[in-house]
Amino acid sequence: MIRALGQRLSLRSKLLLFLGALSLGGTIVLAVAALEYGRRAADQVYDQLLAGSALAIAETVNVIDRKLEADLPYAALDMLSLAPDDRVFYRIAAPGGETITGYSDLPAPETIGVTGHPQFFDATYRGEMVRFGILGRLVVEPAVQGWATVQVGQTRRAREALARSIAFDAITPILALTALALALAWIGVTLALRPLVRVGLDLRLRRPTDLHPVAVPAPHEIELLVDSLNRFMQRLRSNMGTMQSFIAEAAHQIRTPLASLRVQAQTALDEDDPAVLRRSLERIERNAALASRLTHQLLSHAMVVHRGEAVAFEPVRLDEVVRQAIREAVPLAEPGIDIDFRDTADGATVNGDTVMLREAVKNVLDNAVRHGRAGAGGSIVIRLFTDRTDATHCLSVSDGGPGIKEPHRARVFERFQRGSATEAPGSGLGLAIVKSVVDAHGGRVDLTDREGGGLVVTLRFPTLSAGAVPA
Amino acid sequence: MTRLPLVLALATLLASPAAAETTVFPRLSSGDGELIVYSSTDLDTLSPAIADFQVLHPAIEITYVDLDTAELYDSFVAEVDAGAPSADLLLSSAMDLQFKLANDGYAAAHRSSNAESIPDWARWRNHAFGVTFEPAVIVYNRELVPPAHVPNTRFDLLRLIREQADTYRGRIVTYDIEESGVGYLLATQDAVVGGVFGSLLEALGRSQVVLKGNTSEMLEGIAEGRYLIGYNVLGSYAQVWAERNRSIGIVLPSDYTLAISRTAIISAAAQHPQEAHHFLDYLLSVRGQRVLTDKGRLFAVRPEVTGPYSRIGISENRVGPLRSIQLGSGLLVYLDRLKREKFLAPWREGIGRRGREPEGGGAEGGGAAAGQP
Repeated sequence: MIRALGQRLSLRSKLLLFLGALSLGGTIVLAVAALEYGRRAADQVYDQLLAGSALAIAETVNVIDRKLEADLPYAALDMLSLAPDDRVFYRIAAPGGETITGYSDLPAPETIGVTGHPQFFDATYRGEMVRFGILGRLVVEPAVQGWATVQVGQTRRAREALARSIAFDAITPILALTALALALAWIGVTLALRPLVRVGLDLRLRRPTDLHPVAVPAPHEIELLVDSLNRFMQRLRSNMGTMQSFIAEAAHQIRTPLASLRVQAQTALDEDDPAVLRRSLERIERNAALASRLTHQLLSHAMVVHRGEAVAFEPVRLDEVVRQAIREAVPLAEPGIDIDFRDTADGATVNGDTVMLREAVKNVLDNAVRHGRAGAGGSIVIRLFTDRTDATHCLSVSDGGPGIKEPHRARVFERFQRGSATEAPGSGLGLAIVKSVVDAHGGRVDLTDREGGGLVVTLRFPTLSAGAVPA
Repeated sequence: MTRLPLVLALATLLASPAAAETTVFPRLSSGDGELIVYSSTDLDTLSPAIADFQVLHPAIEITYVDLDTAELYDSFVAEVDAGAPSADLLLSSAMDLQFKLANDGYAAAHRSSNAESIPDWARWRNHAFGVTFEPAVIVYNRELVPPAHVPNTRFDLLRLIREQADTYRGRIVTYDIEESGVGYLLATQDAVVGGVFGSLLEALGRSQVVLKGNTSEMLEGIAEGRYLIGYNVLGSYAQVWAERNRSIGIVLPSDYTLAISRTAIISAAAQHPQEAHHFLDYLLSVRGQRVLTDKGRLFAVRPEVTGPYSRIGISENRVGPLRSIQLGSGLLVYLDRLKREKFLAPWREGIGRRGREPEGGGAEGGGAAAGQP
């Protein structure tokens, strides 16, 4: 619930929430600290006053006629009215502790010993917290000896007012800055998000078929987003183009054998001669097989393309893929085919999709079987090895067929293009499928001549440790 | 017509009652409001205000106890400390004692817009409020003191005593500060200002100054010509006498003029706090101040209230520096037991002993006061 809410909350609210919480917490901490600081500062200021008062009184403490006397100076108490609203208490006590004059019931300090230096403490007296300064005066007379004490107290109003004012003065600019920061954050977020809004509007106002790149100028931070968006659209556009031409071509490719089948079937219907009829039927069967294979290849290609986009890759053992492909692609009963598989890669593993890889290998083998039969001995050599120079696992398939002449090599990977020198039936999709799979795995496919005639198809896949990420 | 009660009031003043006089102002309508006021102010000075207050609050019965300032303080503290019923509101011209009550926690806070309007010097926290403004003046007998002798400053007075020693010996009167709280307050404030006061004290001692415990006795003596000059007399009373008696002249000393403010506090232990707040706020209100000024012959503490009695010249250009006694911790100093003894000792030495022996008794010689502050 909270997480969902957190994700739905606007960026601005989130930012302000965090900033607000931060500054609120900070302000509270600062306020407490500032009040404490202010209190200390105020105490220092007013303690001086108390000390001055106590010292002035202590000066007058004297022994006259064997009695301790004091002459309260007017200024000693009058100066305390610098804190005009504070109550004032004082007491002068003889060394024995008996009060000579003043408020005899003033609270005594709990821990402080009386010395010649003024010391301070807080205590409640007559219903109010009072700050007391206490000071000793050493009396050395035959009649009286010891520390006479002068205690002067003042309620804390002026101190608290000063402390609050100091704290307030400290907090005010911080609060103002915080408010300013929040306002700036608000404005900043609005400004920062504006390009995103522009991009959004640009996309929303488009016609559905408009896949041109977004041309809105974008700051550095969202350049990546716009760039990815544009790449994505470009891919989408090219994919859609490919798809459209593929569909057109596929329709054309399927229509032709179907039309021809139909014509042959009609012709066969008019035939009475059983021998001719049989030949016709054989032709029909051949063409139907061709159409079936074409359809299979189209689906296979579509499947490969789909999986390339949709399936998460995982480590795949290439040798297992190859063995499986051999079992499926090479008819057991096919005579005169010699398969020579040698694995020197020692458990080569690539990051990929088993189904796609198997499909690719099957197509390469299928080609070799189909075209290579015409060659010498029908021997097909499969090698699985690791090329350490460019960190790839390689699978090469050599046949003894006519090969593909250099000028045609680039074109055979396009759909519905076939090697020129072939008369064996083929869909023209086999190598296109292979190329799609290899591309999806970040690999590469090479065509080379076999020594003594024939074609070598080499598939190269990045090793797992190479860390190549399939595009 | 209005002067009749005044005359009666003066008559009671002359009687100089030592004991507390209690007057009850019955409530004007049914109700159970009650208020007990301890006051050092003469009843008839305050009674117009009480009457006017009762117009606004007819359901409050007011018990007015007239005490002198020291008595007021002592009995109030004794009663409160004993947990006995006591005053709800205290009104006293002894600012120092009133401040001490507030400082020591005997006063309750009073907050109102009227309270805010009182000048700062006449106010302490929300606990003590000056209600009036009363300068201390020099009073003289117009018929017996030639114009050239009328002292405008304390220096003038000092010179007069020295130069015309024979004429004024035993003819100058001032407060007996051991008896009068206001007198003590004014004397201590003179001491705080310092300067001429020490010399003046010495000179007064030498001229066998007469000491009186209350203002009316002083004014009566001057009016009758027994005394020629009175020093540090409360201006409000002097003004009333001056209106009644042509021979009374008033001088506001132009070196500096002390001014006190009759100070009110509400008891923190008040049994009728509500009524006390009402009455205090009335006294501080423009209406109350006006009644005090016009009918009570006092001077308003609020600057915006003017009347015949605030026009007597309480403005600095005619009076010289006004030293309004500030309600503040300085007032505690001379209340200190040791300090009071130390202050009174030379005073007693110098003028006290002789002062209380009216007319004559100067046999001991004036030199005793010499050398004392």
